[in-house]
Amino acid sequence: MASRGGPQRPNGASQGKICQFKLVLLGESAVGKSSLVLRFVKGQFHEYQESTIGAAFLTQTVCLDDTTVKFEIWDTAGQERYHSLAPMYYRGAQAAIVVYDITNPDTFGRAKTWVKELQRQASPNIVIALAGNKADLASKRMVEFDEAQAYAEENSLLFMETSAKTAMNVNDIFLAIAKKLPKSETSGTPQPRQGVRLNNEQGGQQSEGGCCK
Amino acid sequence: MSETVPTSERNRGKMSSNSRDSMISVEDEADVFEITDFTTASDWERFIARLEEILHEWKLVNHKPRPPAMKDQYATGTWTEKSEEVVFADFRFTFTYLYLKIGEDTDAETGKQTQKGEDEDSDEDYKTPTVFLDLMNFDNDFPSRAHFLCRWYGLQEILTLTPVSEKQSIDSESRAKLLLSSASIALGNSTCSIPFFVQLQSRWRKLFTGTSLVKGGATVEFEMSHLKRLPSQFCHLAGLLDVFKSKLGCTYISMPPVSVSVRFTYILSDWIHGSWPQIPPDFSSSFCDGEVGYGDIDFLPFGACLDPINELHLSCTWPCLSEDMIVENSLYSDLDPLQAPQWSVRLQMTDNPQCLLGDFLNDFLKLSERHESTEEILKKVLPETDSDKDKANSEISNVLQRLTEPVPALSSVPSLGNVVSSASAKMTFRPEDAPIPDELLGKILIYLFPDAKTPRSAEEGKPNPSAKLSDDPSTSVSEASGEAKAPSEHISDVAAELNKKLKSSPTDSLTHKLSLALCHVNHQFGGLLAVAHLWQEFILEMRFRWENKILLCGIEKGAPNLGSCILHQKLQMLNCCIECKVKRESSGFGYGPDSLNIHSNPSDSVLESTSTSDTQNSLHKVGSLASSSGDDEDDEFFECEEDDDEDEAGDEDQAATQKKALEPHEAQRQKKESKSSADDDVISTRSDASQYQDSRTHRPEGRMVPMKNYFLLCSGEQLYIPITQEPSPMTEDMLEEHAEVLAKLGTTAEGSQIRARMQSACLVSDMESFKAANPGCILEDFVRWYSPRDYIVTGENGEEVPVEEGDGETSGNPGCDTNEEGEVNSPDSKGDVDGGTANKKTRSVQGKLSQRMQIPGNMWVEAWQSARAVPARRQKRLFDDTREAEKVLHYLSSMRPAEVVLHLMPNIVHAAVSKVAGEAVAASVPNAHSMLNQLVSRAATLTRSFSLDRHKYREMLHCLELAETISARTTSLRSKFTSNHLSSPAQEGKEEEIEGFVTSLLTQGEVSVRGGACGPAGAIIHKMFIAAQRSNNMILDDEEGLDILDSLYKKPLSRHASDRRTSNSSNHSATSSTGTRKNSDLSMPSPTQEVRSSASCADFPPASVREYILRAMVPRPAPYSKVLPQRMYCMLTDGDNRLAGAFTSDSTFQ
Repeated sequence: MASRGGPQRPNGASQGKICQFKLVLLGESAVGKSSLVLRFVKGQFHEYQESTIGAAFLTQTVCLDDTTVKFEIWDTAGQERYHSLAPMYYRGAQAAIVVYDITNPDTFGRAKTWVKELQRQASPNIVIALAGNKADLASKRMVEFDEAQAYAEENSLLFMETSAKTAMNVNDIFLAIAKKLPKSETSGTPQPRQGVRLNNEQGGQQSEGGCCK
Repeated sequence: MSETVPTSERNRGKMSSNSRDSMISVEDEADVFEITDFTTASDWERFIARLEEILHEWKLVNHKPRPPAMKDQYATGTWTEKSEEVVFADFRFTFTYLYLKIGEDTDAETGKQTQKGEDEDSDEDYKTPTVFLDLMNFDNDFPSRAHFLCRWYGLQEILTLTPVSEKQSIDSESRAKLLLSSASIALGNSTCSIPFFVQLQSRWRKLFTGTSLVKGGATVEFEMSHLKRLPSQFCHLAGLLDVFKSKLGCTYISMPPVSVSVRFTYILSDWIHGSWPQIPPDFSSSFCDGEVGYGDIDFLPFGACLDPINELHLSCTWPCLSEDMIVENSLYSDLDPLQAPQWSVRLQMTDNPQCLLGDFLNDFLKLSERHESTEEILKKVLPETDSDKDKANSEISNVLQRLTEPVPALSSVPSLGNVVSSASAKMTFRPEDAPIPDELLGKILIYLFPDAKTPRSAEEGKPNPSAKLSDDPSTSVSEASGEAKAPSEHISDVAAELNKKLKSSPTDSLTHKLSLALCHVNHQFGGLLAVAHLWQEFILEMRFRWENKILLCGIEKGAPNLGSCILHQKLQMLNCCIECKVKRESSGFGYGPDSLNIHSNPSDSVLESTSTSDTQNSLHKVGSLASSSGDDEDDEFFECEEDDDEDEAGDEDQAATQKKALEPHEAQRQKKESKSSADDDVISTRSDASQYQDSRTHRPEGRMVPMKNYFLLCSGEQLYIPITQEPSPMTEDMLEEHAEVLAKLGTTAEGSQIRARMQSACLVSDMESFKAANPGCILEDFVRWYSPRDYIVTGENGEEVPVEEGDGETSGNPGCDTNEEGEVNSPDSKGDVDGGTANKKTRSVQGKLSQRMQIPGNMWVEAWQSARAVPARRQKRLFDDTREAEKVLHYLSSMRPAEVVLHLMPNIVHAAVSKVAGEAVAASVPNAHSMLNQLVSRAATLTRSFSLDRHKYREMLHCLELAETISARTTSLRSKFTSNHLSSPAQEGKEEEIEGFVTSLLTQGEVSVRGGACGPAGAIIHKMFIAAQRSNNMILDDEEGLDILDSLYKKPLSRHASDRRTSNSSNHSATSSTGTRKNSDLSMPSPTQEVRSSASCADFPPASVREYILRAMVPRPAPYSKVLPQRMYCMLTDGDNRLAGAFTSDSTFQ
């Protein structure tokens, strides 16, 4: 992604242009990652979505104020076996959605380990969203909303409960990410400038010292 | 003023009856009149109109008087500037408004003003104009930093008009007058009293003339004279006072006393006691002699070659004295620096102190601009003939070497690469031509590859050309240790942070060492050529190690760490390939002695398996030197460790497993035997391979571990987790490439299908392994292991219950680790209670695949159907180590030295930042913490950016250099102020204050010395000056010199007379005669009498800069005029004397 990652930065910072962001979906198998993406990208829902092999790739564009945000979405397979391939997809990703199934507490535990891994190994500015999917099955709920929210706040994650089936919060979570993205892009850039300033101050001081003699 | 008459007549026409008439007559068409008027305007008129327009734009019309500046606000406040371009005919000017920003004060005031509202007008008359306030303001007499005009005239806001081009200048008086009068019109029309200046002559002279029209009928004229030499009669206060008074035309009796501010600046440039402490590292002896771990290869030079602190400027100020109080004339001076009430000090830094680290690294980075390839560079030094090879200075050792070597003149003998690799033929230098001398090359290579210290070639029974290596007295580095870990010296937060944040490589890694070694080689052995040479050697060594299956030391095992730099990842990749190759081949060849010695880890794991076949269940894993089948022909197949848990089958593998239990030293002896047994094994597996059996009947193969409580659905047999192929290790660029390929397939249904198929190789491989391990299995079994959430267990009541995700299940997942296996295997684990029931339950378990797995034609079913029962070790390799290794080697060898340099920069930056951190902390640089944080965060973003940008690295190095300079300054200054020579009992207990003084000197521009000459810092500075004076006058410490000196210092007095006559050609002699030389003669008792008694020359050198500000309130031009402020600033220095006067005159009562 390096080749695309490079030019993306300036785009991200400027306004009224198209920004491209790499987004990756992670989470236990059969929590509904592919369904979420399918709902977001095509507005469809299949009761039985084929299990993903490796990773699927989709794109979707959303408009946000005067910016057009293009998401390049990597929808990964949840099976443990594919865990070791995950870095390939979250490497250089600007955003990640970690998905769990609200009817299954184990998937929530798995989501936590994903968040931990992202925080440790993904790019430092990555925007992480936590999605509690299958919210339509609230009657079988096993993971409480408050618990997940508290966890999300603790780790400064975006959090929503979603349902790919009813389309609840699906677009919203992607939009929330899009809103958060450009900011975190620009916040990374001013650092080098500070370094230069140190330099200028030094030079300025010297020259002024000279002229006052 | 004669020129102004026509303007005022025409311009606004207030006085002109002519225009007034027209105004009345064409009342309605007033606008039209204006337009007509402007179309006929001349250049000059347009110029004035433009000035007015700008003044309006900047809202300077009817400008409210500003509050007087606060104490030192000129130096500490912020100055703001606005500028516009103005044209007078074809002459372009920049018109600038410079003012002191009052910030919050103004806001507060405007707030007040709006509140007061009507009171405002009454206040206005009462307020003194800003100019007058400024001229008489004593609070900002000698600001340490301010615009020179503001400094000279004490103004807080000015307007300047300067020619845009350097070449054009106002060099005639009449032009200057014309501009000034034009400006006066503009300012008068817009009632703006801000002083206006026009620049005259060449820009560097900073010569201005100016004017200000003050409301209420006064004008201020700003005059300036700039002279190379000042007549000697004016070179002191008395003379200057005469000038000032004559300028005021003060012939009145009632002339009030002139108030005087004086500032003398003394320069100290000879640091007698605290000379620059840096000892330049001895480069010539680096890693030539001394076996001591070649510590100097990873030693980075640090510090400045020149003293980073050039001069210390001491300014002694006498603020606000009356002219009656002090006397300074050609014969006598009251102005003794030791008596000055205010002392302040500033440092003059050396422009380019030649920082060692900065230069060292910049030289290295410069190589990245070269375009030659390694071969092109080395071609130049490769010999065509062997003639003239016996140079007179060729070393004896070289000659001997040539005699003893089987292959003559293999310069890079110590390189292990040359021993075997045919590629080394390229590298035959004549020894004397080799960019890096042989010996050193050998040492560098040993630094890089400490495991090569004891020549392997001897053990391999080959001729030992690397005799030089064995000559090395120290063989302390044992092979078994494998990785030499340079003890990191600065284990601090910074180091930890660097390791975490930077995308480089661990500090003890081969990559890190390589970058340092190349850096040194570049510095020491002639740059590019040497770098190319060492790089070539490095590549040869890499190839050698690949071909001979020797793991790279100093490169951690395992898949490439994506958090390290790309070059490091490549080396890790190569290591993976070598490891893989070892696994693949070792069993077939038996244990080569070398591989056994070097890879102590694998042999250890073999040792571990010394146990009965029962316990082997839990230990079966990882033994990378498993004694399974495999020979050359096996290359095509994935090699994985033998499945020992086949003990159930109780087959002939037992023999082989027992072989593994042998002690390593016996292993060699037993090699043949084990080989033969391995051969048996090969035969048996081949017979398996030859006839693929029906999945129901074939013998189970490639089992790793049974999965607890899981039984095959059809047969009820124990379900085994198969040994699977490890996922291919990938470097960052491979991942990128791979992801790009996948992304390029697009988002169409077709594309997704192809993508899934491309990625299904791993799935199919796992299915094949599973089938091989579990004869008679079905897809459901596989899914239960592989994707448990896709198997729905139907409970007894018929409701759907997802399969319980027990402990065994999660840890039994593919990709699990060795550690977890014990748990999986032990039958006594917590699952024991329901073990029995579960046993039955799972046997009779009713379940089904999830709906999505049942979609007809889905990839999983398809893959399952296509998968045959093949154990992992006979599958096509998912990871082709040969191909990948060749790719890495090709990647390395195709790099131009310039690219190598760039790729190593992250490591260099890493090393440099930690070096700077260590030094800065050691020197306790003020604000070191924030400086380092800045460096680290900058380095982090730089190394993490995807592209290697040379210019960004240059900037980074520049920052490092700056930090180095700051650190060097701190060291230098501190050593100067804490030198033992300067300490005295009086200073005891004052260390803290001195420390604080040093710190503020480093961080601020000008620092006032608390207590002046009597303060602790002042006393030290005084001593420094004395020491410098003594050494300059060659006074010895003993008293003998006294007499000579007595006569010496009398001389100047006599010379002084002649100086006056010859209008003192040099300012130096002038000042020495008038100023300080007197101090020694006529000094009053000083606080440091004891020091003085021994010295016979002045404590201070002649002042280099002498500044005077003379002020008076005098009626001007006539005795009956208003009393107005007058001011003159004088600066006398060598070859540059300036008088800047602001003289106010009453324009009403002239």
